[in-house]
Amino acid sequence: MSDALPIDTLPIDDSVPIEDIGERHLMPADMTISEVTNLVAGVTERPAPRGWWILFIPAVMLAGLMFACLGYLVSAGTGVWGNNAPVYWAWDITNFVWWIGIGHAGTLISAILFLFRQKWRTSINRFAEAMTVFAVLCAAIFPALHTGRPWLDYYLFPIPNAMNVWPNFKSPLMWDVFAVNTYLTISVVFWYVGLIPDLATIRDRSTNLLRKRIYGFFALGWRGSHRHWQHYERAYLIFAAISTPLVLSVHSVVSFDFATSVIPGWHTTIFPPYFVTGAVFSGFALVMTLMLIVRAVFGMHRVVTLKHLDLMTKFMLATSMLVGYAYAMEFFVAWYSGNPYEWWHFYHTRIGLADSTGQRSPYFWAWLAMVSCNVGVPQIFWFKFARRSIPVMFVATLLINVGMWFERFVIIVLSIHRDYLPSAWGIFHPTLVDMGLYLGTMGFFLTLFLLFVRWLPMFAIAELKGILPGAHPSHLHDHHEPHEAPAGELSPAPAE
Amino acid sequence: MNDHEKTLPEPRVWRSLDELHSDGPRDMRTDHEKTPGALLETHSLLGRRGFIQYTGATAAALGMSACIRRPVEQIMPYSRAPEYQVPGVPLHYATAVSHRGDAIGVLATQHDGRPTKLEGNPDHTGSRGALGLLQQQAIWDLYDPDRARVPAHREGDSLLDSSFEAFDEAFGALIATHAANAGRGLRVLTRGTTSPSFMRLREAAKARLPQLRFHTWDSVNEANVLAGAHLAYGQQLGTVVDYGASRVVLAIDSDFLGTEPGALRAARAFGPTRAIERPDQEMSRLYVVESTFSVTGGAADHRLRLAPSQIEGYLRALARTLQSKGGFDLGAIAPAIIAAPLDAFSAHSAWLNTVADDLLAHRGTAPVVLGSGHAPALHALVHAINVALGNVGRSVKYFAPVDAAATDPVADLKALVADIGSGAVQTVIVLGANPVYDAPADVDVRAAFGHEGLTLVHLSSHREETSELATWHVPEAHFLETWGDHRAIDGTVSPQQPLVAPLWGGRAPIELLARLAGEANWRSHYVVQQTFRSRFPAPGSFGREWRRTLHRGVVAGTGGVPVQPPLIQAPAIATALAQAGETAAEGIELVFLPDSRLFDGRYANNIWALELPDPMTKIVWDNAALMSPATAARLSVRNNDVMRVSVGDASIEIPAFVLPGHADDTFTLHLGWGRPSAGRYGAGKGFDLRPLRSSAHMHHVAGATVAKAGRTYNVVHTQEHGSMEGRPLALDATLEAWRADPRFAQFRSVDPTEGPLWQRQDYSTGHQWGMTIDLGSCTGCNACVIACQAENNIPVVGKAEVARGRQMSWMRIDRYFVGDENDPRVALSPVACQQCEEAPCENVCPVTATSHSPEGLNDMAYNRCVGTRYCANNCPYKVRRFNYLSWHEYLDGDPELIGGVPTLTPTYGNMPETRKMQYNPNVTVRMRGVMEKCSYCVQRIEAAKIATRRDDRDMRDGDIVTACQQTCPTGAISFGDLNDPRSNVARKVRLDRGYHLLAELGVHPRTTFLARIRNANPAMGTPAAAASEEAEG
Amino acid sequence: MQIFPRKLNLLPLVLGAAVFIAGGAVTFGVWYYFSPKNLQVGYAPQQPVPYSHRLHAGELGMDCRYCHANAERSYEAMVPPTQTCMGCHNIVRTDSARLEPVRQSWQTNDPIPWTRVHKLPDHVFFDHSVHLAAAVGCVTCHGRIDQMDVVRQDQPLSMAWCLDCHRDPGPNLRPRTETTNMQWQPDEAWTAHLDERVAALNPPTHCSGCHR
Repeated sequence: MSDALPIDTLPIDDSVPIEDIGERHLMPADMTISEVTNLVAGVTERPAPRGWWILFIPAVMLAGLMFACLGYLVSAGTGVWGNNAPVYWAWDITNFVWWIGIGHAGTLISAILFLFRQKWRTSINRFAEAMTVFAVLCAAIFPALHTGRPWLDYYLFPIPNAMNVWPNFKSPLMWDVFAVNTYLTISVVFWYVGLIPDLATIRDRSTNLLRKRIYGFFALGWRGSHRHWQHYERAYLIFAAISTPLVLSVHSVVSFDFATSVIPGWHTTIFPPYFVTGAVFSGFALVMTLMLIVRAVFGMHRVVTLKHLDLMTKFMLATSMLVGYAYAMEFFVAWYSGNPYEWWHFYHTRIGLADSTGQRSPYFWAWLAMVSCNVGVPQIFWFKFARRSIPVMFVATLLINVGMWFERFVIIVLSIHRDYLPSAWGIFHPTLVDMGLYLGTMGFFLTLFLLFVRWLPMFAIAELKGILPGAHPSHLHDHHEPHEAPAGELSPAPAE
Repeated sequence: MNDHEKTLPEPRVWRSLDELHSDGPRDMRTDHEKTPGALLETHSLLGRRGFIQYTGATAAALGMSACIRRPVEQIMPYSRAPEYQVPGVPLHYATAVSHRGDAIGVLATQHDGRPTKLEGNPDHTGSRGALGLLQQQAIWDLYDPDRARVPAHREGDSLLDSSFEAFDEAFGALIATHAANAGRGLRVLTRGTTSPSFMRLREAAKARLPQLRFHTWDSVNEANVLAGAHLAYGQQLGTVVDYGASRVVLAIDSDFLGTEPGALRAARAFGPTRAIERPDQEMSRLYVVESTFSVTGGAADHRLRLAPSQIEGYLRALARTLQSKGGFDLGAIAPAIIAAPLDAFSAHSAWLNTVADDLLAHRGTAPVVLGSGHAPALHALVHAINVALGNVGRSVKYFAPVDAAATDPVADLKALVADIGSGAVQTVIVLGANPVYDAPADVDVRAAFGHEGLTLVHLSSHREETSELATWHVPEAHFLETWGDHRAIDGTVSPQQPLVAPLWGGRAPIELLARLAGEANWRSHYVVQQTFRSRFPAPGSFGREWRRTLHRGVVAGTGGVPVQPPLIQAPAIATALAQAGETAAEGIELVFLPDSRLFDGRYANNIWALELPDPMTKIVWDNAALMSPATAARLSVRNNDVMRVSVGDASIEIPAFVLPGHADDTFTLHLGWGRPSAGRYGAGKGFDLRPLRSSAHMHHVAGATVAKAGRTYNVVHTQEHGSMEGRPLALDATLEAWRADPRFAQFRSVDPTEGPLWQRQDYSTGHQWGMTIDLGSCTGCNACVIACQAENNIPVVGKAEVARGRQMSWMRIDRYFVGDENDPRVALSPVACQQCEEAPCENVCPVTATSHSPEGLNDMAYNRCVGTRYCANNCPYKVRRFNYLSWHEYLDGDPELIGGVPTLTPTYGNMPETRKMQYNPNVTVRMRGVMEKCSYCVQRIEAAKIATRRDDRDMRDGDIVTACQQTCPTGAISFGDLNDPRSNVARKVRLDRGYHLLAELGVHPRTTFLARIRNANPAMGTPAAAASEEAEG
Repeated sequence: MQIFPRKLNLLPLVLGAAVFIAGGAVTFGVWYYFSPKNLQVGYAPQQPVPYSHRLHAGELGMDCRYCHANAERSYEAMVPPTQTCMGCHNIVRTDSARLEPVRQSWQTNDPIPWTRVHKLPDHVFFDHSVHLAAAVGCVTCHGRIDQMDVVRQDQPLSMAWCLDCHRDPGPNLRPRTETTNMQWQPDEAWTAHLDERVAALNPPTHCSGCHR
């Protein structure tokens, strides 16, 4: 896809700190307000490009596969997976944690970066938020249906009942239920609130009544008045404030599922920060992967410039180092704690040193895959060429997501397949249903995502306008213009 | 859920989604109450204790026609209530079963007419309350859906179902014709028997039909033992070693704790001598010389691996060494063994001199025992040695033979086949035996039974290999269905009392015999009573005596009285020894041993047996060629490599399996597998050894050649990893080490000094249940595992699922090898739920399906479980089992699954009603998606508590006996109230050998292990530096 | 340009109200109507034999245990075998048409198909004997049987209902001699010593007490 790229007009000046870059040339200088509107809103008005269909059709088929696998799973039993004793959790929870992790970038970018006034986020936040919602949906499937008797999942909710039995609030799984649900709710609302002004824009551009009605309905009668903007900005700020702690809490709680247990490899205090960084890391990677695709398919090179990508790669480089630190720290703690079981786990199961019977852990390759993908691969972003080469970024981000999946696999399966009593050791083999379900969720995710980019403004139009060179105070134009601009495009103020 | 619906024949009735989705039997009360209805049509076949006893309520579903609020259920009370029967209250009956020429006392539990569980009868002198693995699993055979149900008659090439009436008529006619010619051409082929009635009728039949001849056949038999005693003393004698009175035991190729005759009796006596409580107590010492690696070898203090062909040499050399020492004289035998070469054992000089010294130092209490597979001459030599050691009358006792007319089965079978060949035989009646499957390769029974014009009547539980040649096949009744009697090897006589009328009809061997003998009333009940009348001569007293006998399960005053053996026949032994003599040959030596679970193949369709791990290899659903690592390396084969093993021109293909500690250049092959007609579950499982086993070499054969077949076969076993990795798990120490450091166990496995962060529950009051498992006396025989399976409705999952690591047994016996991989020692630890006081599983369950009881039990509420499996992940002992699929119906789905072919689509079949009938109604049958685990037999605990409350009394120690504890042959398991200072378990918990598995985790388990003590002989030099000590290295 | 009618501005309000009301209704409906209290209590099916407890237990004053003989020995109270009925009825009312099914059963040896009234939830192992040993009266769970012509379920028999008593058995205890007495009322002498009885009793409230 790289060959189709127009050469960026502005040089990247690495000597300048990020903020300045962000403030000064985030957007091509010749980018006009109406161009932004046409670019973004236009996608929802023109027929979908071939590239979209090429992605959409297989995605839908995979989604179908997912539903088939789920139906089979529920009707036949959890045994259609490869899970066994001692590996009672395998791909199911691995996928859950992986998806939840991916769901992190959204809130992080829209909330935290927003609070830190990172203007460059405006080109990617809408995207990331949508991704978050869809990823969390995919994630939720696993805890809901990995249970032996899913039709009894309602036992997990505190509902008054004729048995006088309540859920066990000591159980991390219980916390999970609440954490994930909260996160999903907030993410959806946050996303939707952000969408409102842009929905209004599309409503006003649309020609046939049905479109007007549909978009209009969801635009909640947005007219772009100053009061609207005032409320909007305040609401957005509040939501950002609410979801910021969530970014940290959700994956911390997920990590408690393991940290609070007694199993070597699970029972460790480093997990909450470790999981959150990992999550952000993988989330960013996937945002970038999709971004690169969409950018090519819809020709959004002027909205998402190489500078955005450059900043994101740097961000990933940083998080990758954090993750790497966590990996190293795990080993240090295993040694420092003097706990022989912990020690044994890391030195034999993870690295795969031969045990007393000369056997090696059948899984050491998993650990290698995780380290090389998550710590090794991102190092390439030290080099400018990598930060500017789309193919490199694309491959790297894909590898990172593979690596992050392996991280979860290593933590979950490797830890339990050999724990305290060697007599109970076992090994896990995935079945076709395991694989089908995993692929299926990807299809499901892509389907939702592609529908989103096709029918909703994939960039925050209004916010983008806010960072146009034209909108910058130092710019010669009347600095009211950018604020008037969107309103200017609205229909004449409605009667009464 | 569709496949679950099709598992239920009647319309589903449901009151909640939970129930609608749930499959198969849930609450056994509703389920077993169904069965009488299901069996109504068999009304006429079933007797007083039959199944037509309508128990409590019959869940007769009237379908959705019922109002939405609830299903209409019906209650079917008796019209006339049967005597003794209180609906819902189980009854227990004393009965007996025989195994390898010995009788075992059984207490059978019966729920509303269904026998559900077998336990040992404490009043029986032989088993003394214990029950072995084979007897425990026998209850399943009663409900085996593949049992023959009606007689079959041959039409052309096929067996067609007939009726009992038709058979009785035909059989009557058959006897009549032979009665006319005094029984000429009539032969009866039976198994070895312990039944006085059987013997009485046999004599009666001979008297009536003078030319009638009896033959016996057992592919695993005690002929050599009997012949040895006969050779040694010139008369029939039963030999019993009293291990309880033994200080030093030398077992030569004898698995006397496992598969040898009288193993249960031996284990019962031997166990206590290993489970000493204080360092200053006397402890027995066990030397084992063997070719395979048996549970006895695992229990040994010192163990020597020898190829079977060297065993004789060793025995002679030992005799010579003994002879050379002072105060030991073999008399006339001496010359015969003076020639014995010692140089072959120069490497093991300690095994001659030191062992001899030890034996001599413990005269009278130092029995030498030899495996039943070895030649009579050697047995005679062993008798002589025991005499010279002064053991006779003290640790070795002799009794009158159980069956004075017992013959050598091999010769007997050969004779029969020869006679058939010569046309001298018109009719053969086979009672129980299955020679077509298990006869030696050189005795062509198949051809003989196919002989033109031969009438073959076969009595057996299944239509099996022999039946296929039969003119008539008659279903044999299970021992719980028919009357009988057994004489134990020590003379104790026990009645065999049925708990239920034959499910589908069926005959006992003695019933056919009775007809041969011309008894007018041939029903087993009458026949046995007749036998007993002679025992209770007092006129009129019979009724009372009879009832008392049935109640106790043994005839008062019988047995236990040894006979004084005559002088040893030294010259005869000497000549026999001179003639005998192993000829060691090149190549691999093969040892044929009965399988610990299938024995000689008679349990081949028993799913419990099939899925029970072999005590040493942990192999399930198969047998394999076991060999030492060195041999495997030399042959460059690995596990699962299929090999072609040939003896002469006969050969079989069988996969290899490496067993550390096995003798080099020797394969152990287990009998009883590869039966083509075993039944739907067992048919074709494992590998048939018949071609390799000739009448001359029934136990072992030398000179086998081995070639790789170039393919592999997946042998599934349940324990992937055999090393403790230096962890303090199955602790042990030598006696010296223990005396030096009495509390070594606690120091290896330390309870944390700091408590948990939260307030600990107070366990100081009320009952606090606890268990101790003595690793010193545990032999890993697996009896507890099957007892648990029978008691707790534990499903079987099939080979494919075991391969996936989904076996369900609540109790597993961990087997670790310690030390040199070619000559390791074995450390065992039976692990079930430890009932942790700070249970990791409880905190993580999101729905409180598992929580702690005030009595310290880790309760599991199956109906609350949603199946997140978090508890199992967080269990450090990995003792929780998950119903990944609907296991109970699973085996009856795709038969491939049993065979081990992995498949993507689990299929559920209709579970035979009969298998449901075995279920314990007091334990929920878990549906798929539910976690389960050992509950310390909570149903028994609650039953006992209810009983005490009902009778207004306090709980006594021993009121509660868990299933595993009850059956344990060595009494290694104790259970009771830790807060009761007088209780057995409270005392044992305080023993300084006691330790908690993984105590360092601070979970405070309720199960306490007592570290094993190895009574190593310092003079032996090498072994028994304790396993755990080495493991640390 | 106006794309929505003006009154649509009410939509949010209406929606909110609707959700609130509907939600409340559903919650209440489930909470009340799906409860055993509503589904089970009052169930009174017709029996094959119009046997009247009012007559036998009430007017004739027969003791419960005359027919339900196992109540103190087994987990089942046991519906009596036909035998028991015939004990009297081969002398009394031998020609009553309403007793025809009983006589039939006696002759054919087939059971009388009674319809189950009191059905506990699945997976609970209830034991009559221990409850009688603890001296809980029949009336506590079965109501005034002696006043019923047709037996009717009187209590919800739900787990919550069981637990209520297991947590506070006092009010439902009585002297052992009075378990089958339908009219018994606690007196001073009784209530005075109730506490130590309850302490001694200490009924199980943990899982394995009832689920095994």
